[in-house]
Amino acid sequence: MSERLNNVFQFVEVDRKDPKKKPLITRKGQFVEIYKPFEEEVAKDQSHRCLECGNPYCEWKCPVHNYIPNWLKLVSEGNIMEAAELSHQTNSLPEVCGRVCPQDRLCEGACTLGEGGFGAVTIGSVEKYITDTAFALGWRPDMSKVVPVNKTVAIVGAGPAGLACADILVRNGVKPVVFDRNPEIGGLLTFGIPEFKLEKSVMTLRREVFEEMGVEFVLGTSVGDDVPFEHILEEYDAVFLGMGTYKAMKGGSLEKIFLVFMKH
Amino acid sequence: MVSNVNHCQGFEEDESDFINFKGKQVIVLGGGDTAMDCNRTSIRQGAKSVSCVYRRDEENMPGSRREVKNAREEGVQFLFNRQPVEIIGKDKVEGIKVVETVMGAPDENGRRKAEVVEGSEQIIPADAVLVAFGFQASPSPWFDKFGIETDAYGRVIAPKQGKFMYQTTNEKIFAGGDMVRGSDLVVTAIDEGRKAADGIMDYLDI
Ligand SMILES: Cc1cc2nc3c(=O)[nH]c(=O)nc-3n(C[C@H](O)[C@H](O)[C@@H](O)COP(=O)(O)OP(=O)(O)OC[C@H]3O[C@@H](n4cnc5c(N)ncnc54)[C@H](O)[C@@H]3O)c2cc1C
Ligand SMILES: Cc1cc2nc3c(=O)[nH]c(=O)nc-3n(C[C@H](O)[C@H](O)[C@H](O)COP(=O)(O)OP(=O)(O)OC[C@H]3O[C@@H](n4cnc5c(N)ncnc54)[C@H](O)[C@@H]3O)c2cc1C
Ligand code: SF4
Repeated sequence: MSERLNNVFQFVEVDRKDPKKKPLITRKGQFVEIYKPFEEEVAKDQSHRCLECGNPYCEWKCPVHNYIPNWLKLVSEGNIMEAAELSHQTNSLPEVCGRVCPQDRLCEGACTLGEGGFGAVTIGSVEKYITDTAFALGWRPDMSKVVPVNKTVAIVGAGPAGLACADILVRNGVKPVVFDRNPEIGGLLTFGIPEFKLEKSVMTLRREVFEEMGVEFVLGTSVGDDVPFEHILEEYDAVFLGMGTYKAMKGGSLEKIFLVFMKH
Repeated sequence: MVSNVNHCQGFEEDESDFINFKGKQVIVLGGGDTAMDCNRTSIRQGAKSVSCVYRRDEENMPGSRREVKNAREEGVQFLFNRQPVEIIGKDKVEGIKVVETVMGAPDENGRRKAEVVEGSEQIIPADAVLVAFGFQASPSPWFDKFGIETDAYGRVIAPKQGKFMYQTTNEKIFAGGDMVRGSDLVVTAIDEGRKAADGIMDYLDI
């Protein structure tokens, strides 16, 4: 490994390698994620391809401005716990983004190696690897320095917007109470995005982690129907709405439309 | 697909909500990411064939390249430059009428428009047609009562550049994600949720 860490031309010798896909027969018949996880050595080798650009385009292009080269370096050195802590400083659901972001349009599309024809660093797959591995090793966000400030905020919607809002609030001592009409958290992550891109177990684990951090969930409860909005507005210090969009677009001149999507 | 997810999870309330395409000839209309998910869901349900009909050419498809590649690998057929005009069939779907298109000059957004070729109508047989034309905002009826304003498209107004980030027109209420941006990405929803939390803390003087 020390030999590898000293090799600044890793990107020439080691090609970009995406995690292996499962066999087509499995993919066609089952609703399971199609990519296998990275093996440790592959994750390290791939992370080490990063050039550590001084002014990284990938970071700038990533909507949450992840510290990408920094955590790639930690992974290449085998320091998963620190990588997980760093990754959570800018992203509330890094293991989800690693799976479902359009990386070719975002971080990986901006990677200098890609522009140079060497193949972009597999940023998304490493991001997913960091949190999945850290969780499996028992890592949890460090909440030991959080001081409660005696404020409570209601959040309507447990989709990515609501969860991210809850994450920042609870890390700053504010108590978030998250309402959702669905029986599980995640919004479209659970009830929209198919399992071949994101398996449901990812959100089940996330819910446990958020609950341990002090986020309260009130599920199976529709705000405006089961709980009047007046009550929420009165009882809490502030309210965040992250309710998504749930109306399908009409097909112009097409008259008989088959709608599979809309349940709500 | 929402109902397919529910089906897999055992969450569904009503058996008839679930649509199954086993053994069917399925046509998916649209070239976005929604379309790719419909295509690949139909394959996994054991559809006899899945064809994706898109009005522009491959280069102008909005869907993620990676998902298009995965869909193709899994057996989805792509029919480009076909604009759907009508779904054929009385009690059940029998097919879809399309017209061929050619790529014309770029529109005001720089995207090349699909122009219809006269007299190029044809019918593609199908047992089921899925329309995947994206999503629109769906404001709740109670927003008005609490002074939460929306724009012409029904999106809640909560600007990043406001006095407090992502504050709505009711000062105690903040908003973010698809209901503010229109349907977009997971990572942009996360970004707005995090910034709105900062806005809330500024507002509460924390
Ligand atoms: C279901 C879904 C899946 C997603 N999956 C991914 C993903 O895998 N990766 C990712 O990065 N992001 C994904 N996203 C996010 C997505 O990129 C953005 O939300 C946004 O681009 C919306 O995509 P869309 O497919 O819903 O609609 P659009 O990209 O807007 O596509 C709609 C399609 O319908 C066609 N259309 C519309 N009206 C007509 C008409 N009258 N006649 C003929 N054609 C018409 C359009 O030409 C277009 O091809 C997904 C979003 C959704 C809603
Ligand atoms: C099939 C599909 C696939 C997609 N694939 C991708 C992808 O691969 N990559 C990507 O980046 N994006 C993808 N998208 C888009 C992405 O899922 C959305 O952009 C994102 O989830 C929006 O987050 P949100 O928090 O704003 O809303 P949502 O995820 O929609 O969450 C809103 C939540 O609010 C709840 N809610 C609403 N009203 C109430 C109420 N009155 N009371 C209680 N709860 C309420 C809803 O139940 C829901 O749980 C996909 C979308 C779909 C539909
Ligand atoms: S995959 Fe990760 S690094 Fe890339 S754009 Fe998404 S959140 Fe940012």
